[in-house]
Amino acid sequence: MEETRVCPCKAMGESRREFCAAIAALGLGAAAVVPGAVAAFSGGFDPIMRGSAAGETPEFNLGALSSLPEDGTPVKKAIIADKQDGWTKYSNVPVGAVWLRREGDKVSAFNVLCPHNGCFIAFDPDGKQFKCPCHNAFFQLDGKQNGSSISPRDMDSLDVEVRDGNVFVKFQNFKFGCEEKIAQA
Amino acid sequence: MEELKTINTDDKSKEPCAFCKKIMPFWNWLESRFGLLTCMDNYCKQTYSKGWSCLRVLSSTIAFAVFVQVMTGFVMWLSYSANAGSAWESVFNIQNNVTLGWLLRGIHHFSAQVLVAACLIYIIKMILVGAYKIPREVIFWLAIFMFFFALGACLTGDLLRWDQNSLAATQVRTKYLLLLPFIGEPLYKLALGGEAFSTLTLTRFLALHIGVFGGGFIVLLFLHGWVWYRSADQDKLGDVPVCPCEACKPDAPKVKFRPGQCLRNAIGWTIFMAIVLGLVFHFGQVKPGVPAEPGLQYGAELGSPASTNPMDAFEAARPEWSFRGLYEYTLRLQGVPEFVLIYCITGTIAFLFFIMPFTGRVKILHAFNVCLTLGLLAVTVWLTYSSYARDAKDESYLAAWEQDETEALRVSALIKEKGGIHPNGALFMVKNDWVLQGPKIYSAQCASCHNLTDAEGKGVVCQTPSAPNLYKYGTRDWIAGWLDSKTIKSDAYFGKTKFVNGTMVKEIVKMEDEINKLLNSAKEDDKEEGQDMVNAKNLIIDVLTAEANLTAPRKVVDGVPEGVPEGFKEAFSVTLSCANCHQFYGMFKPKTAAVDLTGYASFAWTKDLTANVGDAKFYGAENDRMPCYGPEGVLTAKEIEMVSKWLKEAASK
Repeated sequence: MEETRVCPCKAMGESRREFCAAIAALGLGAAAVVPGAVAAFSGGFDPIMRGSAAGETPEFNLGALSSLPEDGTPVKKAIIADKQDGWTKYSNVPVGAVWLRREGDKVSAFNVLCPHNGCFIAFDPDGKQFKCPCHNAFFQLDGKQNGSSISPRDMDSLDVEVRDGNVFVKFQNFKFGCEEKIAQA
Repeated sequence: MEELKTINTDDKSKEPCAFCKKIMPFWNWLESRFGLLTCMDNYCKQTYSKGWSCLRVLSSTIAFAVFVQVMTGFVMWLSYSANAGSAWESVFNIQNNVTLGWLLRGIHHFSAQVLVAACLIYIIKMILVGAYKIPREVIFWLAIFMFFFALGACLTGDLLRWDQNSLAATQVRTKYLLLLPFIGEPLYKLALGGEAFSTLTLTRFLALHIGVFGGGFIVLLFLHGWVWYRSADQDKLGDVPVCPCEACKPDAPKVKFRPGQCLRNAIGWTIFMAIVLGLVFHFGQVKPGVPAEPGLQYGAELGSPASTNPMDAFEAARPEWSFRGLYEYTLRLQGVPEFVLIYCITGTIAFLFFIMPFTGRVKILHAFNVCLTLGLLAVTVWLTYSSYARDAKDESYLAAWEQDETEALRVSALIKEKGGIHPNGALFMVKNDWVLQGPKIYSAQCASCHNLTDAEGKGVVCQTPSAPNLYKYGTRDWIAGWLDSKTIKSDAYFGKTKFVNGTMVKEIVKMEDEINKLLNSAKEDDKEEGQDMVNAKNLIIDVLTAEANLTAPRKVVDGVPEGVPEGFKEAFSVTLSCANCHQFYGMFKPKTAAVDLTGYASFAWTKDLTANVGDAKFYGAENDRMPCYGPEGVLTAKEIEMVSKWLKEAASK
């Protein structure tokens, strides 16, 4: 092909008049796009623009101390609270769960979510240890990592208090995959 | 305007035929508006220096697979509901109710898997035969992008069926986004539509699946076709590799591409569809050999409906086959930070692939590229294999799968039985089904004290049993055990409870001593009395067994329950002095209170006892350690009903 191509920059026009028209066309076109773009942007990025309400860590009553076995066998208990699922509001449904472990009058509580990647940690009664079924992370009954583990830290312990014979747990989730225990906002 | 006859004027053999001449205005219209004839002509006249090739069927097969995906995907979209409360239900409807819906789902699912494999083979083929080097870099990059988009479509499409496995597995894989610094958390929230999995995750995944990955793949495919078409004169692109197959070796140096290549392509498509159909019929929702409805048996998997309840953890979450190698690699390299494993190392490998068109021009680097590709392939195949092999031996993994399969089958059976899905959804049906919930409630609540094991110790095993074994609960043998001094003292009955030293055990021992004494006595009268006591005991066992089988309480007429044998009253109160403590339909006046035997071990009695064992008609204040499940709020009335019903049904098997 022998024909010389127009330099792409020349599309903006060769005279001052043409240049102004091109600039005006670009400006007007952009202005016309703005409202739709703003709406699309804010709708599309809505999930990250919502600030999550940070507040005090809520405390939950997980029932009578006497309902827990004294020999230190872990018991899984649900955290019952209100939940927002999309546009639906559910009242009093499980929003999380904890492993409770009683030795005498001492109770320890762990979030069931694996610090590695948030799978639900299971209790392995044969091996007397906790096991995360997704990537085989093992934890001792006191929540410490058992041997080499894919998890970057021990199980997330939670503040627990026994008052009037009932077990109260301050429930929160922590960030996954990092060595420090950082509370999720 | 260019007329048809002006095309191909140099070629006499291409004169239009009689029919075409007749509809010439139509052809001319097509030509003037779309330039279609010129285009067709160019297309048909394409030649290749090395001619047809079996290896060239891949790109056309990928295009065919995408066509199949669009066709089947659109029809499923017509019936799909992206809502946490109805996604599984709508997929169940496609699988079971839509005519040939199982085939539709099966083809869509397995075509996607074969498409991923085809994209991978396409890339590998380009590298092996050296067809990735400049000036084919764009074709090569587009192939890599197509592979990534196919994976993206699989990852997003997987969640849409919203069963336990797809939810659990997607929850794991999306969290890998969080490893990314700064952008990780925003990306995670954007993908999920919030901070946790919800209905918004489904609406987004559907949009991503169709709009971004599906639509994007089609755009890539057209770009690929366009770039390829522009390079139609393959001489410009230098050496085109030859397929080693004999049939592909042309005699002439320049060979018309079509229709020889078209035939090969069509064979490629047919093989593709044959593989897909083979997979559809090989895999299925149900294990081979398990009898089920034909629709249930074949096609893509559909497990039990997803539950976001953290108490219903699914313990067998695994990635799809195409990610198994990556999964195994992170498991095997424990200790290395996962960000390095997942993003740095794989990112570097991906980068090496992207620059291959440039590096490949150097001979030694081309050899490196080939080795890298083959090495990666071998390692991935080995990792994938070893991952599956490990799971095949992992008992807790297999048990979790079997549990899910049982639930899936049960929920389909329930839906069939009711003629449809409950308005509150399939999960509601699962949660209110005694067959599924009974054993779970039993394991969580009862099995910490009560064994439910046969003589060989099989069943629901309690680690430290300290209450009666409930195996064959309410059957004649089980009831007879209470009236035997040896068994009642054993660990399977009162052995580990405080009642082992109680009145009941003492009375039974006393009764047995007396019977033995009388039966061994020399006097005929004593022997007869002893035999009377044995008969009375057997009669009471019979009556109690009949009580356990009652579905409704007996009618009481004039203070006497209907259907109870005549000798019972005497046997219960006089011959053996059970009535001193036990009540039966208000017939007696017990001096001390013990368990009321009215309707003993029947479903209603079991339910009432489970709800409130501390009630005066059960153990009252004498209760050992069993929780009062109802008043203490541990179990709901529905849960108590389900576990009682299950216990009764389990005993009758």
